[in-house]
Amino acid sequence: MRKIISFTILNFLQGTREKLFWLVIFFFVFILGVTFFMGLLSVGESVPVLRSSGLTGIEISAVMLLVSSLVFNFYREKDSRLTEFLLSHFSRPDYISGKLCGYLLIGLFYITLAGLGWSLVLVLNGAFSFQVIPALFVLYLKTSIITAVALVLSCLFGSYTMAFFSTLFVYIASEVSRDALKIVASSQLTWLKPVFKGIYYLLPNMDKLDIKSAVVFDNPLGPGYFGWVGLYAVIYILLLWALATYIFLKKEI
Amino acid sequence: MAGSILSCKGLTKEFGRVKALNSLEFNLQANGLFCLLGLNGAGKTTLIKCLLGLIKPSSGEIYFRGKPLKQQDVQAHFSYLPESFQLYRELTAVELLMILSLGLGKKFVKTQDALELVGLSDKADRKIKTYSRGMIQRLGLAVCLIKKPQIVFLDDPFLGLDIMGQIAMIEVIKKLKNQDQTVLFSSHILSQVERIADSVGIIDNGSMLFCGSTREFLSKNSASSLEAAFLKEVTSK
Repeated sequence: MRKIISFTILNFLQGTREKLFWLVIFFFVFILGVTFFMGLLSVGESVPVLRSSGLTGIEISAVMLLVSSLVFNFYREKDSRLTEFLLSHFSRPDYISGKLCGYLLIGLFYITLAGLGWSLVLVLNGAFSFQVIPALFVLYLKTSIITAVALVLSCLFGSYTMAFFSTLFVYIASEVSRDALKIVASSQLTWLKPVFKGIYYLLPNMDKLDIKSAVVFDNPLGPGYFGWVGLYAVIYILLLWALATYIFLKKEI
Repeated sequence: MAGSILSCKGLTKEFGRVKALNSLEFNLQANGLFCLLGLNGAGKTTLIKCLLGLIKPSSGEIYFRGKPLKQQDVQAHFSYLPESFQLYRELTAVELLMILSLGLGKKFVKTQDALELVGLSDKADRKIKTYSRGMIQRLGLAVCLIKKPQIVFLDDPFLGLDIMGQIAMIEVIKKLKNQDQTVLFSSHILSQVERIADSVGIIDNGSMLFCGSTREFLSKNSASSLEAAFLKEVTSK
């Protein structure tokens, strides 16, 4: 456990001090500015616009930050032989666990910072609601799942580009899988339904973690929902962690 | 010499059709400086990586203190400094050592000793990205030392270092020897090797041509310098 904590701190400090982290913060500040002006322009609809665009901005920037930083650093450590160096001190499961925990912590740090900025914009526009907090929690679960996907694909593929784009593909596919399932349900090809159903359950069910409309229109969700989605995300992440560890154990460095 | 600490029998590693190591036999004596010599692509790095469990040998056995080597032995008793490696660039040396010593269960005072030993205590608060190649090598060595390993593996530790960097590295390696640690290193700079190595292993095409003391190697090849002996050994095969 001590080794995992040590690795977590290393990854967190490296990840939050890189230029990329501050570049994404800058990008998010720009999004906040755009959100603010969109709120001013949408007379009568400013509250839903501010809430929706802010939440979308946080999600996109967080996914871009976590995926690119994790994948890039994973391959940089491998290419610069840092991985070899570290593996003479730490076991492979420690390495994978530390990397995952480090990036989950970076995600938490970023979403907290971005959430504070977004909340400030909402307060200034009289659009703040305490629904923001559960929305950020669910958003954190979503980005955590994608972080774990990025780790698995980084362990699996030999190239940075493959891992990066495959992770983005999984993210987009999991966002649209519910709609795809609906389209297939009305299809004439009966064999397509079980195939798409299988893919839907295999991919992270992001539709279940989407509470944007509840936040935008102030429809509070019960604590049971947060318990279930929390449990779903934890189980999904643990499975991905086990898979990443298994792949990394088999890998020649 | 205090007996064999690490040995391998029939070690073979194949990458597709290429045999990087070919039934290699090797014996490392405790408390000494052992240098692996060989031309580029001879199999030095592959051997070191096999010994560290970074790559799996196709066949053969590795023994640590007479027992089959386990991965836990590597993490507990070995340290490795790869050639031209990088560290976490955004951290300072003292932060890196403090965090790693937390993971390795060592006290912070050991990190100060390690920094002192490698001559970086006055630059400990600088970010690693401002370090030169030689300073990174020495900082890596400081990390290796905080867990007091039984064997330190150094893959081409002089690569990319200027003469001052090489001298500083040699001094650190000598200090390791004085602390009764076993050091296995590979190098192409034979003049430096001759100054410090107690024994040498000559690898060519994945096979160990010679493994023994530097003096034995020189007399075997009737040569006055390591360079001459090495060339004779490799070309006469």
